[in-house]
Amino acid sequence: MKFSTPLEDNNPLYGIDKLNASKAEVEMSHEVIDVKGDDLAVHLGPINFEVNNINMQCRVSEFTTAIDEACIQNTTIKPYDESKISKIRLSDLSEKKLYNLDIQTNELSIEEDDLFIEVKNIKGNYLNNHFGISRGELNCYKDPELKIIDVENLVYGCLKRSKIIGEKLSYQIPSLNMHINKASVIFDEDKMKLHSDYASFKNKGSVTYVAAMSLECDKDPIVVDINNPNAILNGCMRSMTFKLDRMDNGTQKGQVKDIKNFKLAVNTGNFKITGKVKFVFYVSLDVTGKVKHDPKKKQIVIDVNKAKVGKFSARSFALKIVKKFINVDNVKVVDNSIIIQL
Amino acid sequence: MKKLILVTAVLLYQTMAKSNDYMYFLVDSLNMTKNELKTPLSGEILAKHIYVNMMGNEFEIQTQNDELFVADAILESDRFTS
Repeated sequence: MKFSTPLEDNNPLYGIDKLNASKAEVEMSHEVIDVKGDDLAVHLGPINFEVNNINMQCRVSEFTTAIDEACIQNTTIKPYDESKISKIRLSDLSEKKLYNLDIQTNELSIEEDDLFIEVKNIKGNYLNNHFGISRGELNCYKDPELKIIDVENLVYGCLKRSKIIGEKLSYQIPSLNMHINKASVIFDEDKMKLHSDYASFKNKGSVTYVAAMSLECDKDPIVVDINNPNAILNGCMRSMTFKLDRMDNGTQKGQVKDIKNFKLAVNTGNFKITGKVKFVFYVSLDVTGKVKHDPKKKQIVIDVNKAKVGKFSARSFALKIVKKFINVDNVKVVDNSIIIQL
Repeated sequence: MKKLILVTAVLLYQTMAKSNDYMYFLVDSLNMTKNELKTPLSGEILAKHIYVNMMGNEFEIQTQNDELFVADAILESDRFTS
């Protein structure tokens, strides 16, 4: 028995290089594309898209076989077997291997300009930045004109406008391994805010613990189709407030073990640091100076003009304290400047 | 006038045909690949129910007692064959 039917011109399913499914039910009508099943894996050009245990409904206004285009516009994904979670995996099959994303969720929804994920666990990397979110929610702006799965566009949507909360957030680059507990990160059009109860920053053998951290920065506008990697950095150079109740590098040997009531304020290139540093007892720390971003050298240069420890002027000593707490390879103290290589 | 009625009828048929387009697959396993870049996506579907109604072409296979049937499938740029 043989059956053959014409499809739409330039049927987008033809772009699929590999399609595997098991225990799956697929319905495509003029109202919905409904995909339920245990496993589904698609290679669509350079994109590998795999899902496990999903009940996916993509709402459409007319019959289409353009599943990717329809589902990136208006979709709900929930577990097919409700006693288990859904798994969604996206990875770049090209030689560049730009991204890899694993999502475990009970609900993912996409509407016109909104992406929502109830997060059980997200792990991934994007341009060699490794990140993770456990037990939380991610709500991001989504470009209404998006027609294909475009990870770069989705990332820029999250930087444009988002709210991310999580019991645990992690971020890892070669020089730093950061874990943040009970965190919330908010990106508005012109601000970014981060709050956390507790965080740790690990580098080589050293670790710095931080309690009650908050960061608030200005932000340049993010236009989704224009790559603006310095949007947040530019904003933070313009206006930033960074506060924490306590910072402790207890595993390091040295006189200074912790700082409390730390505050760093940046206003149009001028910065002021205040805090209390523990030697035998707590003494005040006041540092002022200028900060600038050199995009050509990819550096942040902090020039310390004045520094007081207690009632005494002690610029080089204050720089040593700062260096001790930011003990990573890409931070150097040169004369009266701290240079952060980005 | 006859021409207008004919054109209207053709357009109406195409609209109705499009609104009736429908696909349903209940599969146990599906494995389709392209052997080379320009060859069509092809492979084997192990299924219980396939129903396709595209542009007025209707096709259905459904088994009883949860039995499976095997279908060879070919997906070309403008055509689905099984």
